[in-house]
Amino acid sequence: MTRPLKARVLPGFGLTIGCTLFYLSFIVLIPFAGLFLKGVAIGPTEFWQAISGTRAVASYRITLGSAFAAATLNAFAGLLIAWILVRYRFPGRRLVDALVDLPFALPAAVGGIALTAVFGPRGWVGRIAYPLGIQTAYSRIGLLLAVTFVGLPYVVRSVQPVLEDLPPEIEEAAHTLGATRWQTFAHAILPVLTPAILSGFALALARGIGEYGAVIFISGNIPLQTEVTSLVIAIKLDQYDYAGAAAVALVMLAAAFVLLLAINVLQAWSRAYQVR
Amino acid sequence: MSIDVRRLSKHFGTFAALDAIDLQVASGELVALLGPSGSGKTTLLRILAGLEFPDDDGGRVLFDSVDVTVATPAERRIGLVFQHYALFNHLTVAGNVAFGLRMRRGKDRVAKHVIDERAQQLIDLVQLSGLEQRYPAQLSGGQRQRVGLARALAIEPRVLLLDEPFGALDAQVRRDLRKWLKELHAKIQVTSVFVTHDQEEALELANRVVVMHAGRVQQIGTPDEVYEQPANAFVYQFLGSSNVLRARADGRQVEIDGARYPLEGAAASGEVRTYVRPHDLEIVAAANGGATFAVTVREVQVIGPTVRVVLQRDNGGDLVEAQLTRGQLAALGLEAGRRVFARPRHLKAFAPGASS
Amino acid sequence: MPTRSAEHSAGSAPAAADPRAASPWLGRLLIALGLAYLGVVLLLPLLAIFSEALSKGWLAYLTAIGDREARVAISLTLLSAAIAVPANLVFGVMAAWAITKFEFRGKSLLLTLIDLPFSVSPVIGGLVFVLLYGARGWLGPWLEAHDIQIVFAKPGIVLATIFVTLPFVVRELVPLMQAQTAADEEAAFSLGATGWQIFRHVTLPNVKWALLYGVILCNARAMGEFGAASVVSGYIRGSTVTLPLHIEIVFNDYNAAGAFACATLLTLTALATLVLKTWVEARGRGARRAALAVGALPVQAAPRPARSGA
Repeated sequence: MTRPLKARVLPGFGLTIGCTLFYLSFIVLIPFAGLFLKGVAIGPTEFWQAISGTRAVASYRITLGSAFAAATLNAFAGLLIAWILVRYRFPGRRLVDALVDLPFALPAAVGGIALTAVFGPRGWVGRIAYPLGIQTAYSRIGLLLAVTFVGLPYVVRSVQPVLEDLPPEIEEAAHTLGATRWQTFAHAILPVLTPAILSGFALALARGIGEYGAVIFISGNIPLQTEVTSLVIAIKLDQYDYAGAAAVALVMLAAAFVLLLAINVLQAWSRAYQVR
Repeated sequence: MSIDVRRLSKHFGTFAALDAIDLQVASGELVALLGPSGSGKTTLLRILAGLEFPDDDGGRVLFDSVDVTVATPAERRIGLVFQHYALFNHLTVAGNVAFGLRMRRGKDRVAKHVIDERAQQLIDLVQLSGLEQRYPAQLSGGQRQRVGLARALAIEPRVLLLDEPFGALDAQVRRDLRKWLKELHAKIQVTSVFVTHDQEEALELANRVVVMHAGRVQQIGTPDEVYEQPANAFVYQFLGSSNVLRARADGRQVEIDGARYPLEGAAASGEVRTYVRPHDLEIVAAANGGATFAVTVREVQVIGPTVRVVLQRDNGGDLVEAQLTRGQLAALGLEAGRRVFARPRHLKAFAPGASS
Repeated sequence: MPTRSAEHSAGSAPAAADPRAASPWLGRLLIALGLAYLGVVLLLPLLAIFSEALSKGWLAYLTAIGDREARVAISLTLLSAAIAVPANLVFGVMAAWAITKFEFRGKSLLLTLIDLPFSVSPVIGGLVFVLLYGARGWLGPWLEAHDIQIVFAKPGIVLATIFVTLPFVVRELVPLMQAQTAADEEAAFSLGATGWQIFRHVTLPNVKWALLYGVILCNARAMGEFGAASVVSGYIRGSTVTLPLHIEIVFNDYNAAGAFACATLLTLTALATLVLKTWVEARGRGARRAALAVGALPVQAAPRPARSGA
């Protein structure tokens, strides 16, 4: 049964929607309109030139690749972490639970330099890794670390509520039907978690694509190797190449849009599974 | 497959959920565990299922004389039906029903076509033919529970256990499924134990009823036995509405305000509490010497097909309820304030110390 | 929340009395793995911040956070937060009211626009303002003619900060207010209350924890903003350098200890944010879960916590 149209019963519609639209226009609409206009204004050929430059194209591959790899890593790790937080009791659990949100609360720049401190050649981990030939900073690994760091909480927080709400009867049912522990996990629990995992994955992916602050300190920013698209835009701006910056930004925006659609679909799918 | 429970106890901390339970279920029987919340009935069912284990003090569960006290549910070959269905929402009806068979590995492995056939048979048995590809979200509560039942039966359990199977359903659906389950059981004859707090359900469905309270078995008997010959006041009161009338007893007779009645149940003497069912409390317009006692009508309530009359005993002021048909109400022309006379039948008393 | 561990870790057999209790090794292994991962990826960096900050001693630490440029950076960061957070708070409340109490077309589009700062790289967030207000931007000439400086000046920083923190309060309020039907508000209205009164006495008490939560996240993000600020800042020392930018400058100047010293300030704020967040979450959890359980649709995507930093 649909709710009847609230025929503006409550007061304040005019005021609130007016202020909202005004504010939104000032902060979002008009600036982005400016971006689109710029993209249009520079004409198709120059646009194409800007977005197809070698460094730019390399950056798409690097950005997407690292974001994807990080999101995948976070999907597995996130599932594990959500699992132990929900299903087990251990000392410090609440602390760990709160700490999972650290990448959210910590400024990316701080995260970036902190990662450098740990994974750089003289860092606690770098000291062990470098002699083994593993360059954990100023390299692809460094980039991966940064993107993984910022995306860590997404899958955890996506899976946690679903796992918390999983009725014990489901597992008992599987158990009484003869499923082993692994079968119960694979056939009765995981399918329920899958939409949430994918949803968290997509969010981590979206975040990873746009990440800037954490990345620029530890990735080394090597063009064609670890230079991400947001840095390409920043460099173009530094060089007053507004046109180029705008063009590449529009490419990023398009990707973000597609991803947003995917996220919405996944979240709808996730909700559809919840039978009340 | 017979079930034998011997001196089973279960404590959660210091709380005794079950206290030295003894119970036998014959093969093919449909037994109800009936009792209020906290009576231990669900705990007992879960111990039978293998989802919980009894205290380590010698209590035993035997299936066909084989000790299964510490066996897993799969080892016991039980099927469990849950109050809230516990269906796998990401699987279709067919997928749910086939689940148990699909999980079999190694030498127990079942060929796919056999699984599909068997699943289909069961779906037909529970009258859900045509809905094989639906998901639980697309089914009604009653349909979901039937899937749950089919799923439990698919693994050919030796014992079927049902945990308040109709508890989550509307009253009408509950009644329909009750009838349907009785027919199904007659067809498949699997030893079944179900838990309920609804005495109507237990009396209608079960071959035998186990009345439980505070972790102990109060009485085991056929529906008739527990209803007509309750072992104590708790069983009496739990299995139907009841009235309490204070009386003076000597041996097998009681006296209420000058009237004398035979006493069923335990013999008693002195001041006793006697019990009578509302529909066993007859109302008459005129006194009849030693067979009736005086009451005043306090309230008349017509509820659907029956009438409930609240009466106050002239001597002492005890309130009792009588149940009449509409016809009887019309014949008597009762209304509040009217003075009439009551004649109880089947007055019962119970030995002191019976839990209530 | 019920304790589930002993009862049914993926179907393992339960309690102590049970002679066939499943091995707890799996649990221990999983916990060890999970904690090890978090230890390396989260804890080590966190500890490193403090370790590096103090690596040259307390005096160096205090100098680093007390020097003039640091102090100016701190004040700029605080200023932007002090403007952005209240602005987005008011915006958030108004937008949430409009969205959840009324039906109108384009609601979906509105929500997408509000979510935009979440979906784009912060660098783009800064870029759009440069394109609009920069010397070569659309409004550049006009601004210059009127001697107004937005980009490479404080207003630019503030605008960028407002942009990136825009969605936080709205996202927290909308799901909750959507799940709470308008019945209470309509009742108040029918009794003659004005809009403001309804909001203050009926709506606000119901959403106060979500509101507080949104403000906490908004503030954390505002103070930590880097990417967008970096683009619009111009890095004019003493004027347009926020604390995160200052950290970058100091770090790139090979003064790691100094950079980390300043970083500790933001880290402590982040930790305080986490503590506050947890506290508010616990307080508001009841209302939130009840509301969300009714099946409210969250504002596009994203879990509750903030997206802070670059």
